[in-house]
Amino acid sequence: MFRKIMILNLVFIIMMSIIVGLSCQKSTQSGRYVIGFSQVTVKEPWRVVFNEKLKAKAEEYKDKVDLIVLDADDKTENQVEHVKTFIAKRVDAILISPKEASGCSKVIKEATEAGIPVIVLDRDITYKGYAVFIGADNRVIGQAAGEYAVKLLGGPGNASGKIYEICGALASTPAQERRQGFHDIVDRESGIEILGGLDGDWKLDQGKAIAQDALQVHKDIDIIYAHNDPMAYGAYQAARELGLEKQIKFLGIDGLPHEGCMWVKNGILTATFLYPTPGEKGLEIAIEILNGKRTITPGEKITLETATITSENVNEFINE
Amino acid sequence: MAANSHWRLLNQRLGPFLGLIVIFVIGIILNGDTFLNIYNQLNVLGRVSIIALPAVGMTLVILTAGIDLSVGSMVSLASVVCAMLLMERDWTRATSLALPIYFVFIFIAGYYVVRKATRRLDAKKSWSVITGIAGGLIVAVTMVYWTYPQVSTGFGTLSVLIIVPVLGLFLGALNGIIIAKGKIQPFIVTLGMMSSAVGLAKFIAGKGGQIHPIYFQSVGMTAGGKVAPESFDVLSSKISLFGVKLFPVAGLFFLCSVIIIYFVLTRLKFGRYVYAIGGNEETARLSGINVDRVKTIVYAIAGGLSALAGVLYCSAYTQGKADAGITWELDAIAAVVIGGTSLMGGKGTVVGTMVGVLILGYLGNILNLQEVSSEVQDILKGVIIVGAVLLQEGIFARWMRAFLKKIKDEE
Repeated sequence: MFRKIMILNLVFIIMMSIIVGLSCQKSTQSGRYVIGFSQVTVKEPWRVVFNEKLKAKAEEYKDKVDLIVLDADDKTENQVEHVKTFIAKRVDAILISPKEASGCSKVIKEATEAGIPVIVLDRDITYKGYAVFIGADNRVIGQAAGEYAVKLLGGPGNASGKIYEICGALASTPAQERRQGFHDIVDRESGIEILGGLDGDWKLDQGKAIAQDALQVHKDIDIIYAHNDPMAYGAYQAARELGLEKQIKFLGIDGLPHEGCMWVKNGILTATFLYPTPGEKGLEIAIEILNGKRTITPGEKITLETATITSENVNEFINE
Repeated sequence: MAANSHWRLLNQRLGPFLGLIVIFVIGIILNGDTFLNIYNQLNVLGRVSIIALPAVGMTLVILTAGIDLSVGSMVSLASVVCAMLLMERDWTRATSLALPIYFVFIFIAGYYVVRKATRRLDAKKSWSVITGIAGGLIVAVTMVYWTYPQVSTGFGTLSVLIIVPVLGLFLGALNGIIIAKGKIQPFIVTLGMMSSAVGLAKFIAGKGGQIHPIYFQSVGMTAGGKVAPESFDVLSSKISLFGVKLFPVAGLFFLCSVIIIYFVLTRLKFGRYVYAIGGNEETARLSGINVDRVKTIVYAIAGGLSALAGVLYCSAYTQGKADAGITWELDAIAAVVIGGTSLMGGKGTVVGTMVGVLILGYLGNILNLQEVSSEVQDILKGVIIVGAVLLQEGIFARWMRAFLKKIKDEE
């Protein structure tokens, strides 16, 4: 009796697995390129746009390329697992937007040694043998923001005023570089005083909380510079509660179509600085490499240009 | 009714293995060679081995009807401390935390060993304490002599493999002592430790919890000339024989921990105490078991194994960071539960946990090979956890029996 149930159970389970297996089996056609992409997280809006643009680009090449997009749920372990999976599947090229500089180095070396070109996007890693790195330079973006702020306060040489800075997560390099770049320019102006520099962790609510406290003390701030658009928007909300939103100018970074650009368009932010997504360029370069049109020079770097988005040119970036 | 309990036992013992077989068969059917090839198999085993260590410790804790939510944070803290010990050439926050605890631990261990050894020679038991203290001091001073110079040269692999787990043992024991002596629920105590350990990790890392990369000479990842010893890289490599990669080194730690804990649970008095406390703590106490001590040791082991996992994490991912082991405690609990250990305590095996860990590992691997998105993976993981427990509780068996009976009646 029990043996009967046991056997029945086993037969049932095996049959189920065969059915599931057959229904899920995918066939990969030959003559096409399979490109794997490991995205660290899709919790940040910037990365959602990143993925959307990359997928749209892959759609253009859909007769040649199969793009696999995996989301690592903000964990290094998952990204390493993704790359290992790509190696096991013998994909033709790997795109990866790593969580941090060191965590994926080892596995990217492994993939490179297995003969798969790896294109690192957005954040550079400690292993320099990858095919290409593509990303924007946060320091340059910080400098662009600094130049714009100086211009708002009277131009180089005779600028004067108070700037309040709200930083992103200070343990992260983007925040450090955006801070550094901004200070590169603004510190030269003796008339400008930079206040703040607290850690808002990239979040709207924390940006708002910091600005609420700051505006109690300093009512004469001219510019609030935040390391991303949501924090700048949070600061705007705080200023509006105090009725100060008209006299303060807000600068953000990232320039996402539905965030920063909309806020610039609605006159909430004075300007935002584009932090371009590297996905499309990455895919193009991967295809160039696979077609033999590009030779690999290990450790090559491609820097994407930023752009200053103001109410004058904002529509170009929204319609994109 | 006897039949029912029979079934339950069978399900509890074999359920996890059956699950593993099913997952394996599904993997082969879905991905064929890609799944079966040695590269992929070693990859799964290597990754799973690190997460398995906290799960093995968690098995002991759950067998005593407790829970340890702090294992993930211990992994984080251990990874930060380990990375800093390897890469820094100065006295840092990591050394100020780890070294004093390490020396105190060595002293206490030396004290007990020497005292135990001299007790037999001493009829009046008066001077065994003194010799114990003297012996402990000698051992501790020897270790200081060996370890201290490494502060300025960077610590070696063997040193971090001792110092960091000792830190975990200490914090785990702290958990255990508070739970046992303070008579507070383990959930609350370890919840507190979970928060504190991550906070401590961030504080030690500095700058609000920055990442500490580890560089090796061989992989060409040098920064400012500071590199970790090559032997540390071995911890995440694979043992190969005649040029064929056979087994990940991390897997050895996993296997050894399972074998040792299995031996402890089945062959030693201590193991029986663990089951007894999980079965009924009051009865265990009344029958003369030193419940407090057993609990302290159990939580210490969980902490120590988690810290060991933190060291392996450092080697595998060449970095230490404060969010290294985030949510690992949940994976560990999931593996234990899938492995057939009851959260009520007193029932379960460490071999079941090993199988549970493998099931979760293969599940993730298969879903990745199938390019299933992470949100669907989470959903499936949840379904499998609950499904596995349902299976073990014999509910499917009951349905099956009712179904067969119906057929029989119709005949």
